[in-house]
Amino acid sequence: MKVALKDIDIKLREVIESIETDTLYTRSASSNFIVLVSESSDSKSINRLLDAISPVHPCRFIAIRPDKKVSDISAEVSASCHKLSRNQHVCSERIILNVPPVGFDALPSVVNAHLLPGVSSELLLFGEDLPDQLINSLSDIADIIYCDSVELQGGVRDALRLLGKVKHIVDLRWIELSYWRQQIKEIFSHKAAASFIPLIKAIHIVTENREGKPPSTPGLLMAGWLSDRLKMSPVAISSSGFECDGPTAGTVIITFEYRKSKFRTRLKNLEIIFDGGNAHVLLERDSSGLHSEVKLLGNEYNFSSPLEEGTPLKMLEKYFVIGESVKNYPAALKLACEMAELDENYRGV
Amino acid sequence: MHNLFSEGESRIVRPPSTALVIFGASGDLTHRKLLPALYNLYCDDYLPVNFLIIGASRTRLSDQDFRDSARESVASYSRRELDSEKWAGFSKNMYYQPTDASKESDISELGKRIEALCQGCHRDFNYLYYLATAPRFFAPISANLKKAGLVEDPEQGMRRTSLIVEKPFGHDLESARELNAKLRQNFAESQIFRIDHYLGKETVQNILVFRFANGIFEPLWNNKYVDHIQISFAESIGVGSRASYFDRTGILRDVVQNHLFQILSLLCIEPPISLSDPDSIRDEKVKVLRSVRRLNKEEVAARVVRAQYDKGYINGEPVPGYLQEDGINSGSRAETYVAMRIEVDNWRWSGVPIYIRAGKRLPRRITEITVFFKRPPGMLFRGRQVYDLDYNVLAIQVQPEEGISLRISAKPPGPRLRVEPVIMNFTYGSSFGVPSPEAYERLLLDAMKGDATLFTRDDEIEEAWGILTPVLEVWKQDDAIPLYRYQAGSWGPLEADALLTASGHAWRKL
Repeated sequence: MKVALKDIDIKLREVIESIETDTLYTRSASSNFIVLVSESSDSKSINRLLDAISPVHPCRFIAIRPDKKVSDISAEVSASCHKLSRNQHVCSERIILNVPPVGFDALPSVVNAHLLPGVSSELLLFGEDLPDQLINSLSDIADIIYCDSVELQGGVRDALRLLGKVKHIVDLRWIELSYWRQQIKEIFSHKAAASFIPLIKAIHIVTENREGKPPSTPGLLMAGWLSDRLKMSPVAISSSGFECDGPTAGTVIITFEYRKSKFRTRLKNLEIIFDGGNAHVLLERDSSGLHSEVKLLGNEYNFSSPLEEGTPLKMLEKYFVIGESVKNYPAALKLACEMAELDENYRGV
Repeated sequence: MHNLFSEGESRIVRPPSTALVIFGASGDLTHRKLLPALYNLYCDDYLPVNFLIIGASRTRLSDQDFRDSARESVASYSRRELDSEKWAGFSKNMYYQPTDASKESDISELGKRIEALCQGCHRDFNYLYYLATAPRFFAPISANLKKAGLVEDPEQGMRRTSLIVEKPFGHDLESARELNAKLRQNFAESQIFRIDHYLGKETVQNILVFRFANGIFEPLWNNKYVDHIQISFAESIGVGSRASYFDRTGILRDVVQNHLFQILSLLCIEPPISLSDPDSIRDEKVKVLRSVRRLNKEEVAARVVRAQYDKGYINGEPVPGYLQEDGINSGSRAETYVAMRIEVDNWRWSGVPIYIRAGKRLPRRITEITVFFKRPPGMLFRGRQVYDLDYNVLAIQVQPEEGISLRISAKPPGPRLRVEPVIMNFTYGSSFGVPSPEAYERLLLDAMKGDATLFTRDDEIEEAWGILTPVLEVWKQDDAIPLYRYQAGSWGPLEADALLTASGHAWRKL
């Protein structure tokens, strides 16, 4: 239903009140969920996106679409309800705002006026080429940002900048890497493997993308996480790679390799090489999942786990249903940025 | 002697016959608030069986003119739709007497008219004078009423004559004392009802019920368990038709000295001896205000932030800056936003920061009292998907929705141990299924009954000014104290955020 900005609250209430009441309807008021979508989205695709999120994360949605074709900010309101039990439904209110560039300055005032008070405000940056001005002004309102750092123009550096404005960021690329982190964590939970940690000499990270060129956000995030866990910092770049120093393993060389593939960007494999050359840990993905090959003291062990591939939306749904720790993300992100800044022209091995 | 018949007699009964005389009867307050409130009281059968409403102002109107304009106001501003039959019954008790209240002769004429109307009803009436006028008329009107013999000594006569006055009660401690002294020359303190409409709001009255009728909250209501408190008053509107008044006043005087300090005193009050004796509650409220630590010059600079809005947007609409508003002096230093940190320095609240903020042209209209309870130790959840454990937050929303919510932490469904905040909500509308009366309805009814519990006593006013006068003086004397800027439609200047971040706190997002 299209409505004037001043009537948004009244019309939303009418929408909720007009729902048939043969069962119990609960209006969700657990949080505000602001979604900034790209201009290429239309009402249908926005509603599809919200349809996917609302069953796993019911809240008040405010979707914002930049729109060069309109002259003023326009609003539509609706509600979507999903069944919780046989006679109980939960309803999420939706406000969709189409915003012309001349309305960018005024937009925060519209959003602020329609947030549910006293609950957190979350911001999802969804899609490419989102206007910087809107990202900045909306992140000032938000407590939490959900984004795919690959889709941010400045990659990890933009993510770090946004992190400075909110309590935390849920980077969907970080969520995607959770299987990799989990497998590394499990391998080194064995005492035999853990005793090799001080002997780590090099880490080789292979990523693939459509161009076969840097940068690789997943690769940087993984390198950042490994560096943080090993308490290392990148100190220099040489012909052998990024030199990282830390108290745990001394100097460790991290190298990146970029391969061309049909995928937009993803981690392909990761090798941890130990001093002496007789031991290594190799994680590699293929169509059947994530496989690890661990060689220690002449023995070889192999592990496998399924690897969920998915769109950012799938990752987001997974986050809401299962949850995922982002506790180590800020430190990993900071180190990823430090590496990216050491040599912007790094081409990999 | 104590009235031996009053004990246990707390039934809500209709007040005795009352003649309500409204000075300033052609003004905004009368038409937007008082007349709709009286109409609603009539519809709910709360008004006395015999009542008279006598409008008095300088405008030349007939009784019928007054009724006609009142009908329009009630139709526009009443919380219930105008019912012709009810209106007929209500409006037949309305009269109008053109009166220049500064003239003794006019007041004398008004007195004759009141007496004639009362005699026509063959009843004795209490007289209730409502001064819906500019404050400069408070003292002369009260003096002229006295001279005209329209004020009865409460110790002597059987007729109750009372005076209701609207804020502002002075503009600093000295002027408040002066006004109180002038009013008391003509009326006893027990006859003066200083109205602060915030005290008529259900949620504000509910603070006492919430605290003292629930066994689970009062034990936590102290510095052992409360981390800090926030009281927020936000308006999206600018100064509108009050530009000239507001520009002389500023928001500290306009809102904080009265509404927000009344809320503060109820929130922090010790249990009174009785809820039915007006002075028991007011005695305790005064003690709270007296316990608020006065700020010295350095503390004013460090703990009080003032600001003025620049142009911006409200709900998408461009709005001018304060200095561009009609009726505002071009070099005005009136604050449209204030944030302050205060402490109630008594046994219960010592060490608990209380943050107060009030502002115009903020993103929305909302008034909320928020109590943040201390966080539990978080070590059990470290390393899980838990960041900092959230405060348990008790939020009392005064407007626009009246209700209470409690934020607690809970585990979302699923195999993973997570902690997320959830809200338990109580709203007046949905819980009781009936609309809340307007604040003025309750207050007018109480004044007719002679119950002063929800009205502000002279010493409360003076204590409130005692807290703020040092701030006003520092602002006046020291130009180096900045008047910060904020964009209309934002939540105020960044400096107001810094007031809290030093203690690891943040304003609640409203």
